[in-house]
Amino acid sequence: MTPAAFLSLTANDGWLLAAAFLTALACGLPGAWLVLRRMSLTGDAISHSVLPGIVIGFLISGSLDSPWLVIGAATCGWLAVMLIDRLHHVGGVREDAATGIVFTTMFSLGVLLMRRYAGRVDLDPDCVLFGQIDTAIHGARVTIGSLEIPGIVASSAFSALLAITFAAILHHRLLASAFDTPHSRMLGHAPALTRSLLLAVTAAVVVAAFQAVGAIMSVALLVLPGATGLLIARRMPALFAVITVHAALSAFLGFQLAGLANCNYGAAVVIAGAGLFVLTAVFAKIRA
Amino acid sequence: MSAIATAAVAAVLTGLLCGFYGTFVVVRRMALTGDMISHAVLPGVVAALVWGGTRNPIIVLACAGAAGLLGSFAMRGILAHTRLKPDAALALVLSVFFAIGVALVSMFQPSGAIAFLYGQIAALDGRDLAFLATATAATFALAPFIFRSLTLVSFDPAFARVLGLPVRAIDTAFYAALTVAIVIAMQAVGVVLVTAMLVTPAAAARFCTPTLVRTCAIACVTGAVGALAGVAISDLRTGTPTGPLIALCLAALFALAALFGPHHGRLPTRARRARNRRRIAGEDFLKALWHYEHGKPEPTAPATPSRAVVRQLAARGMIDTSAPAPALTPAGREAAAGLVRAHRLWETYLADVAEYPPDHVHEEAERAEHWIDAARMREIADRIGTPSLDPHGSPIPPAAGQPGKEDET
Repeated sequence: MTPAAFLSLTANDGWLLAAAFLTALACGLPGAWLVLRRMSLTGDAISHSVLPGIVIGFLISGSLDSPWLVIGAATCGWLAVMLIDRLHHVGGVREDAATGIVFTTMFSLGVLLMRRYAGRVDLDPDCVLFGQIDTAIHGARVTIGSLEIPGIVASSAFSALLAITFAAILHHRLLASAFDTPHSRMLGHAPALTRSLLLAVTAAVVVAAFQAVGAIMSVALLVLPGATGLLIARRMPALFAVITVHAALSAFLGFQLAGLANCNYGAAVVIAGAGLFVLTAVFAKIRA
Repeated sequence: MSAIATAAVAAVLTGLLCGFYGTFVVVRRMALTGDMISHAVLPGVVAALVWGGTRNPIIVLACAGAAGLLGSFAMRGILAHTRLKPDAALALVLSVFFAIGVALVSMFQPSGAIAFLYGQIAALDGRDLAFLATATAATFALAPFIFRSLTLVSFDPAFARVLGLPVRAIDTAFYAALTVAIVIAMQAVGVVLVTAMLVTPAAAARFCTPTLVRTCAIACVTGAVGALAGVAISDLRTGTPTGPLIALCLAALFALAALFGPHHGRLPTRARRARNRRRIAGEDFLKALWHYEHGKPEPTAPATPSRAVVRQLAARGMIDTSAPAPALTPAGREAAAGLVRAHRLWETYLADVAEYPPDHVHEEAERAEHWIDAARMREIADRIGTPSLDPHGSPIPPAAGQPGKEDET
């Protein structure tokens, strides 16, 4: 008896769980660094600002699983952070106000582009706020070897792979630049480049999360695993372990919750993740 | 009233209301707290729509307020009981509360939720409009009385407490009023773009004026104009969503203010800097000519002035360019002597009073000479007893209009 059969899951449920887990994991890895660097709200700004990039990438390629989406999103995410920096340092606008202005403007541009050009094709405007993980699982499939897997699982697997590669290769640079920027500079690490790469990877993984759970709930996927990990972990390996467990548990518990309450799966994943966060906080409080 | 007239009136009123509260949101640096509130109220709004059945603005507002309060408590709890920083706490509360709202929407599919999620200014009915008008009228009727206290509490809560103001009560009232404004703005532009309604007009206004009262007034007007423009464009091009258009119109107004705003706007600042650079280059050139006339080359040779600078000096009658080599006119000679006097007085002051070593004073004076006016020169001369020689032994030219006792030439 396979584990899936034991839990009385259909193949589609399995794919759904896989997509949610991989998306949460992909967001959780760069998200943890954002939380550590006190840049959670930059993550918020990026998750909204990638929309025009996604729409333009979609218009160029005509498909939701194209690398153009990732390129467009990463460009727009980087552009948003650049604009916020410039408004703050050159224009003298306070950072919070600059963030608010830039992300709302980019988001509006994205919505308008989407309504104007992509309304006739299968880019669903509701996906911006709700995500479409429930429906996308039945959508187009890609064939890898002898395996036929849903497109959204493939794209979330790709972004998880990207996030893991990024976190593994740049681990020491991320560590040094997050905790001790001057030290990182002395080691010859170029902390500014590390930061830019972190932002670009965040924008890239947000593309998959955007399709799965929408713009706002991707912020939860970015911040929740890292925040939960930081409640109990004292060292980076433990933090990454907690992130992985948190992603898996929220995907699974969210699935149960969505089945019970008959609600949007993406929202259920986030609510389950928030429940885990609260439980962890209580546990950490009691232990301390 | 026709739909477009309703939308136009609603846009203007919402713009005015958000401009007013947004000013304080921006000066208190809580732009992203506003964003958090707009997401945190969503579960309350949806619950009210499910429970109340109809879109009664009072019920919606009460439930939204309760949810917003819950969001603030959650945030305070995270900050008090975990090591997480405010940015993570904000992001968590914002996204999780929104997720709860989305879950409720997908469970009960209440009618009218779309208006709050995406904003449908055209869907507002007479009751909404009456409520909006009441809120705006109340705000502006109370504004003259609350403005001063709100300003004090926003900028310096400690001082406000010393003055005996009820700081906590004012803060709570501000949060409550802000929540009302946010719930209203949500119906116009949608949950994500409320931040644009609140923050963008006020941030634009700060480029136009240094005072808070005028910032507030300009923010209100900007908000109303931007919202109205968004409604108008969306009416011209039917089918385009109003919320994003309003946000983009506001962003365009912000860009205009950031470029042309008289207070720290990019171009006025650049123009002022360029004017100062030209003035300094011209003054340096006058001084160089003066030194040349006195047969003493300057210790540091000035850069060759641009043709524009020379033309400007000639137009002001400072130099005579009829000969191949430019020469000082009497007016120019007087101006140059004033500069040299300022330079040498400041050198003397630095060496004698501030006890700088004499070989360190020239560079300082080279900068200061352009900013010391006649009154300041008199003050310095009085302080140091009107000496006739500077620390390097060069004579200090007398003040304009006094007989020259130093001129050995």
